[in-house]
Order: sequence, then structure tokens, then C-alpha cells
Amino acid sequence: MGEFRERWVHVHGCRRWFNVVRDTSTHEIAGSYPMGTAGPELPS
Amino acid sequence: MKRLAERGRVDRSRALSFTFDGRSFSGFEGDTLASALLAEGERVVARSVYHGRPRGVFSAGRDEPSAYVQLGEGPRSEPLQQATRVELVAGIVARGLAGVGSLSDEPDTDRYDKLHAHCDVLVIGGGPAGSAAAWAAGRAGARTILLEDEAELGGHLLGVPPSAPDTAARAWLDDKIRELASFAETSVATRTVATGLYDGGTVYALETRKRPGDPASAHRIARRLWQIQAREIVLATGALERPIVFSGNDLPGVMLANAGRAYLNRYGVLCGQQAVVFTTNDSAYAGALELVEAGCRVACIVDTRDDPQGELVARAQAAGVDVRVGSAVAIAHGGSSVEAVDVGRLDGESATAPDLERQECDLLLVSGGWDPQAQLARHVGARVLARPTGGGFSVDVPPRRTALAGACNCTFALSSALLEGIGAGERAAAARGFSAPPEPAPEVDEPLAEAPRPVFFVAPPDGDLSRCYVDLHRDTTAADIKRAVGAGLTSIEHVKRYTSAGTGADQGRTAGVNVAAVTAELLGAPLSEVGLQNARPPTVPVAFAALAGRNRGEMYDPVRVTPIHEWHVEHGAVFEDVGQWKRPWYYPRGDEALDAAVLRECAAVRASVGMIDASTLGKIELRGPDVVEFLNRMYTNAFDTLAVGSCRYGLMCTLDGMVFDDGVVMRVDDERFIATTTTGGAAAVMDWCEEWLQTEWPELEVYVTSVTEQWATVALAGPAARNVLARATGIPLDNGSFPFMAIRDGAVAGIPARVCRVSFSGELAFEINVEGLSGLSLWEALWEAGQPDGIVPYGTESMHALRAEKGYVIVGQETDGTVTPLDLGMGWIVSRKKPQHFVGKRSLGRTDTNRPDRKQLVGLRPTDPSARLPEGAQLVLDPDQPVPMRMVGHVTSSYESAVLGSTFALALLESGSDRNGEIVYAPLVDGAIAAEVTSPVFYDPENERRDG
Repeated sequence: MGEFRERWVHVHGCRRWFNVVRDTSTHEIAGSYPMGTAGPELPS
Repeated sequence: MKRLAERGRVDRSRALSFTFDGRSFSGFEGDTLASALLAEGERVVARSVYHGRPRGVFSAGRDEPSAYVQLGEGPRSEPLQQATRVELVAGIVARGLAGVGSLSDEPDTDRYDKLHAHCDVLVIGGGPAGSAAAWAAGRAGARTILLEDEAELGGHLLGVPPSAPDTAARAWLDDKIRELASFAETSVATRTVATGLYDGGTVYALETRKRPGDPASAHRIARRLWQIQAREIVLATGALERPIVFSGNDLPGVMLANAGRAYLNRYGVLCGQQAVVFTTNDSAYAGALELVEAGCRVACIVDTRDDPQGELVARAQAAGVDVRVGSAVAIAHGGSSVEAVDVGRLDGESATAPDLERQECDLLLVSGGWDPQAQLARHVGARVLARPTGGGFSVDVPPRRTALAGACNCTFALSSALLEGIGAGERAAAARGFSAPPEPAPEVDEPLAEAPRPVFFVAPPDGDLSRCYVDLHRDTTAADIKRAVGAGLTSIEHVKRYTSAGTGADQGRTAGVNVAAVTAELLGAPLSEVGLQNARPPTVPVAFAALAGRNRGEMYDPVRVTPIHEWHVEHGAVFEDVGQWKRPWYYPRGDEALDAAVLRECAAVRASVGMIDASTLGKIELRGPDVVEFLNRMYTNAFDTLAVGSCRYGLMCTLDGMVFDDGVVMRVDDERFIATTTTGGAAAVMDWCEEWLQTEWPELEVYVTSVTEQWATVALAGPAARNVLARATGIPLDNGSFPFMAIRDGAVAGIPARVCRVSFSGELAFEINVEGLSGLSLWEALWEAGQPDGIVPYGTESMHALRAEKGYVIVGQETDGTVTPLDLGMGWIVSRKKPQHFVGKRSLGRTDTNRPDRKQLVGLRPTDPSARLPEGAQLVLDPDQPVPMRMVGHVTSSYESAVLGSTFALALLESGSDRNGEIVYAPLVDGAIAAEVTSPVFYDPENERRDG
């Protein structure tokens, strides 16, 4: 539970894969960042 | 006549005639079907679902549990409409429902649509608080959407007379509502009801564009489903009056107090001549006083409170109304309508003393208090808590980026609701970076409300609960709840499922809290412990047609046809669906059946030449400096050794080492390949390539493009294929200059073409690719060129039979996601010595994928050459073993072969590669079919025919 890094793909649009930080209990999306980049620090 | 000469917002100059239950009536523009029926003195509108009890109009809005009608006739008929929410239009035809409506057998001819909207601030509910919130957010410049279920903004104020003391506030609000239209970034959607709130600020709403049953608007889009993406949400969904449970509380003429008031003030309809008002709070007094003023005799106001002192109470007493304090209505009497009530002193919270007093009346207005309506917040998990006063429940903590304003937040006073709305709108806009200088809020002169004394349930003195309706819509009585509790159910969710209370099309709006209260009382538990039933989307019934929108028929699942389709149709092809594609299945001559046509088509290919439209094969163009490396990683075999101008069969696996797709890959240039895929797998292969390139190997510079529809492909197969093609092209076709698995560019029939020597039948074959629009010209030219050799068009069934004779697999037919290349006997294509990795390589090294007793591809020859194994038939070693038999495999493909003169099949069989010559059996209903295990290659195992 909590913030989790996920791989998403924009299937019906630009078809881009990207990373998303999503809270698995609230479904709140904290942000997204491109593939291959480190992304934000997550609370441990 | 019940219609008053003056009051109301209806337009008395515009009379509208309509039909109800086969009789003609008349109402006015501005009426609902319910108000028009009440004005005509129609008390009974429908029958209840299980008990068949007469039911009348109970409310004035979405909460209506009783007055359900079927609107219109034929394919556009609308079932289960609340009469209280049907805007009256001329010529409308309605009939009261006994419980449930019925859908037409014919397809709905109405059109439905979908709409996507994005906003900074979404305000749901256009009453005072919501309108104020939208105004505050809109004037700050935020992109704002205001949704209102009804046709106009104003909420409960539409049912309040213009003379009420809060005139100044209402004038202020009217002014702000007009101002909303001038904000460039603000839109107001009326007749649009939010049906569900979802994570991340997604809201669905249903807009009714065509007034149901209105013949004059038949051409319009009937309904539109909005998907709204909102950054901030303000819920201003108001409150609904709660009924009280007592014996006979479902009789026509028993009505929510605010409904009686709304019919009077909004529609100019007096719902009775002699009224009794039963209330737990002050709110019903205003309506009672208005009834007196309009000429209705109010026999008494029965108030549960022992000593109400509010200003409205005093005014009622001053007007000569008999106010009976500390009392309750225990029983309502009547046949098809209420005729009298029994009133008694309250003894405890829900019991009445045995000495009851009869009071005649033809209207009983009930107010059990007000329940905030915040179901939308609960859709995303907001919890409710029992309220400290007023009864019922309220939202504990609103969802993220969602604010509650007004009555849905238990803020009932108009002045406070307006302030709360303005504040919520300003804060929501500010959260998005928008603000405006403050403007003074209106002053409201309203009487201070005194605390209510909630009473949910009044048991009759004789203890008979079978007429005490908790849910009028579902015909659930307190007796049903008692049975549920008696059966040991303690959870409100279980009581709901056991009794079905609260599960109706009205979403139990008038029932929910009372179900909880009656359950709590029967359990002897506090309301806070029992809790409230869950609220789930949708808040109102949404027709499937509205969910589908335009995605119906062909628009639901598009039909894809090749550029040559027209020719196939003209030549009598029978089509089969392959994914979304229509492919010729076979081309019957005369009344030829499938099997006969396939035998003929296959024989022609083996003896002379056939042609097939192969345009549906997926085609992906891959380019870039790293394309070879990419192909090496995606396919099990190597592509660095493939020369320009050649092509190679390739197999792809998923990570678990199972066969995923196959096809021929052409190298058209150093850094440019075209990979073909199976017809059904094209999109998945494209996705697969993109996923790996973007996520795991971003360092590879490769560009993948789907070119399936940019190319049309015709295959010529058979010993005469070279002769036919030679008549249409100057490309040298002899084996020396155009060997097997070579590709050549040139003109065919004058069209720029790329020709490949690949074969899916084992015969000499050429696949000619041209740009899509030239496909039909190419086909017709080759058809002409083939006439001297008696060329035959063949369909997918013959193609399948021909390839099966050669033991070529079809991914998805011989494989099902559990089959490795080794299982198919295709170990030769897995370059396990290839130094670099490929997808699935590691899994192919696992012990389990190398078990010798896995199911492996074999051929089957039935011992009776005329017996055909059904595809999918299970195989056993001993047909006489007891059931359940041990199954050792199944048939994947089965055909009758022209060239073999017998039937044959492909199958997956345990340890199949070690069973050559064994007999296996397919046990069927009418006996077992025996078959000999053979090599899967039935025809020309030496590949002598492919060079012609």
C-alpha cells in the first residue's frame, strides 16, 4: 500500500510507455516521468 | 379542479394534452407528468411491484419511489420513468407500471452520443449552494462546469413561493445565475445528472437531450454520456426529505411534505382539500402555512417534538392550525387513497400509546427530516457517520480535491449554504490558481430552525408490521426487515440483499436511512453501529444504449475488408470473420457446400494454380540502424545472416517461452525490414515491439510502423504459378534468378510490386505485394493471366487444409499460449546457440519446457479414411477405460484431403514425438474414432514441389 512505481502506456493516444507514481490505496497519481529516467524519490 | 388559478411557474396559456393509461388529460407547459396528473385529480398512478398496492405520487423529484410509468410505444419506448421527472410535452403517451417496465423487442432507433469534457472546477448540483459555487469559481476565471439534473437552476427554491422571507437572497442568486452565462470559461449543463464519481476526478454524467416521449424532438440525440475530467469538484447535491415508516404509509395521498409544497408553489396544484402534516422538524410548517393560504384546510400538524418553540410553529398556531406536540401518526387508513389517520401521543422513540384519535384527511404530508445526499462522495470510498442531530448520516471526510457545500454537507439554512457554496467555489478556483476580488454575500432573513426530533418508525398498536413500508419501490415492509433480523442477519448489507430494500431503480433514496433505522431498532443497536448501505454508481438508471453511444453494430466492432473485397463478393465468396476482417472462406460453385468446394479448390492448387487474397496478413515495417539487433532479440532465430533481397520465416515467443506469433520477415534494405504477422496477431505484435523498444531497449534506434493496410497481397500457388505470373511481369522468375525465399521488386501488371517466393501450401508460390489501392487491379490482372491455366480463387479453408497437409502450424490453432516451438517440432528455429538473448530464451531452458512428455505436435490418420475427427476432440490411449478417461491430447486441425484421398488431422499429444505408429482414440458421443499417429507432414516431405 502506498506510492508505487508503475509502467503505463497511452494505448489510445500517442502509444508512449511512461512511468507513473500511483498511490495504491487512493489511486492518486503523484506524477509521471519518462522511461529510462530515475523519477522522484519515494517515501520509504 | 385541483389546479389553482394563480400560483406556480407553469405557463397557463400553453395547454398540453397527453394520454395516461389510455385516457386523455391536459396540463401546462412547465408541468411534470406527476404534477399534471395531480392537477387532474389522478391519485393512483401505478401498482406496487409485489403487493399490487395502489400507489400515487410520493415526491416531486428523483427520489420518487412509486409513480413509475412507461413512456411512449414501439422501439423508442422508455421503461421505468419517474412521473415526477418527466417533463410534460404535448402528445406524450404514458401508462402506469405494475412494478417493472418492459423494453421493446425492436432495436432502439434513437441516437446516443458521448462527450469528453475537462475542467478546473466541476460543480455538481445547481441549487443555491452549487450555483453560488459555480459563480464564484467561474468569475475567478477557472474553467467551470455546472451540472444540474433538472431543466433549470435553483434547486429547492423552485418550490418555494416568491413571497418567502428570503426574497433578497433569491434575487441575488437569480442575478448570479444570469451572470454565469457571461463567463467565457463556464458552462452550465442542465438536464444532466452525475451518475458516478471515480478516482482521479473522473465523473460520468447523463444528459437527456430529447425529452423522453416527446414526438416533436424525435430527431435529436436522445441522451449523451459525459466523461468529465475535473481537477476540483464541488458537490452541492442537496438533501432529500426522509419519509416516516408507519402502517399505511404507502397510500396514495401520503406524500413528502416538501413535495406537497413544491406542487403548490411550482406547479400551482393543490394536492388535497383537507391535510394532516406529520413532522419531526420545522421545515414542514412553511408548506403547511402556504397550504392554508391557498385554501386547503390543514386539520392538524402532528409534531414529534414535545415543546416546539420555533417561529414557524408560532405562526401556524396563530393561523389557527391545531398543532399536536409529542405525537405521531400511527396508521393511515384508506382504499385507493388516504381517508383518515390515527394520531397518538408518542411513547418513546417509535411507539404510540394505545389511545389513538381518528382524523379524516385526503392528504398526509410527511417530514421525517432531511438526509444529505452525498452518494457521489461515497462512490470513491468516503465513509458516512451517524449525525449527532437530525437523524441519518453524513459524509465523514470528503474525497480528495472534493468539497461539499450546502445541504449535502448538512448546511441547511439558505444563507449558510450560499456562503459555503461561494467559499467552496473560490477555494476550488484558487487551488487551480484563479482568484477574483471578493464580493459581499447576500443577507438572508430566515427563521431560525429548531432542532428536530427524529422518528423513523412508528409501530401500530396491534404490532402488525406488514403495512409499514420501509421501501415503497421494492415493497419492503418492516415485517420483512424483522424476518431478516430474525434469520440472524445483522449487517445492513445482508439485510439489503435479503430483503432487496434499497436496490430499486430509485436507488433507495427514500428508503436507505429508514432501512438502517428499522434494522437498528429491531436489533436494539445504535444507528451508528448499523451504518448505511453502500452507494455505488450509477445514481440513476443509465440505458445500455447510452453507455454504448455510437459504438453499436459496425461501429462497435468495425468490419475490415481488403481492397479486393468487392471482387470476392461478386464471385460468390462465402466469408468468415478473422478478427475484424472479412476473409473469403470458400468460393462455392453453384450450390456446392464447404467440403466439396475445399476439395475442388485444393485439388486445383496442387494440380495447376490457385490465387488467394492475403492482404489481411499483418505487416510491420521496421527501420533503423539497430533493426537487425532488434529482430535477433524478438525472434527465436537469427536475422543478421539474412541478405538484402531475401526473406525468412520467424517465430516469436512470449517471456514464458510460449509461441506468440509467426510470419515471414523480408529484408528490403540494410536497415529496413518488413515483418508479416498472423492476421489476428498484427496489433499485438505491434504493441509487443513498441513495448520492448520503449521500456527495455530504449538504446536501440528502431522505428516500427504498421503498414498492413498500405499493402495489398495476392498469392499465386501451384505448379502453374510461374506461368501465370510470367504473363504479367518482366521479372525473371526461373529458380536460378528468383530462388525460394527471395524477394524481387518490379512491375506486375504495370503496377510497382514486391514479389516474394514464399509458400504456405508447399507448392511453387509467389506473393505479390502492391500498394493497397492497386490491389483490385492486380487481382484482376492475375485472374486474367491465369485463365489459360484454369486458375481458381481459393479461400481460407483451402489455405488451411493445404498448409495442414504440409504440417505448417497456425498460431492460435495449433498453439494456445502453452505450446513452445519445441512442442511444435520446430526446435530448428530456436537458435539456442545464438550468443545474444531473445525473448523467451531463458524459459525455453527450463526443465519443464524440456520435459519429454509434454504435448507435442503430431499428425493423425483416422484408420477409417472417411472418418473426420472433430477439431477440439480429446484424445485417449484406451477408449474402453472408465470415465473420467485420462486425456492425453486434443485435435487442433482436421480436414479432408483431396491429394491424400482421406481425412487427416493435426493434434497435440503427450510424448507425441515418441508415438509414431501408435493408435489413439477420440471418444465421441456416438463411438470412438481411432487414428494412427504420424508425422505432421503428410505431403511432399522432401519439399520437391516448392520449386515447381
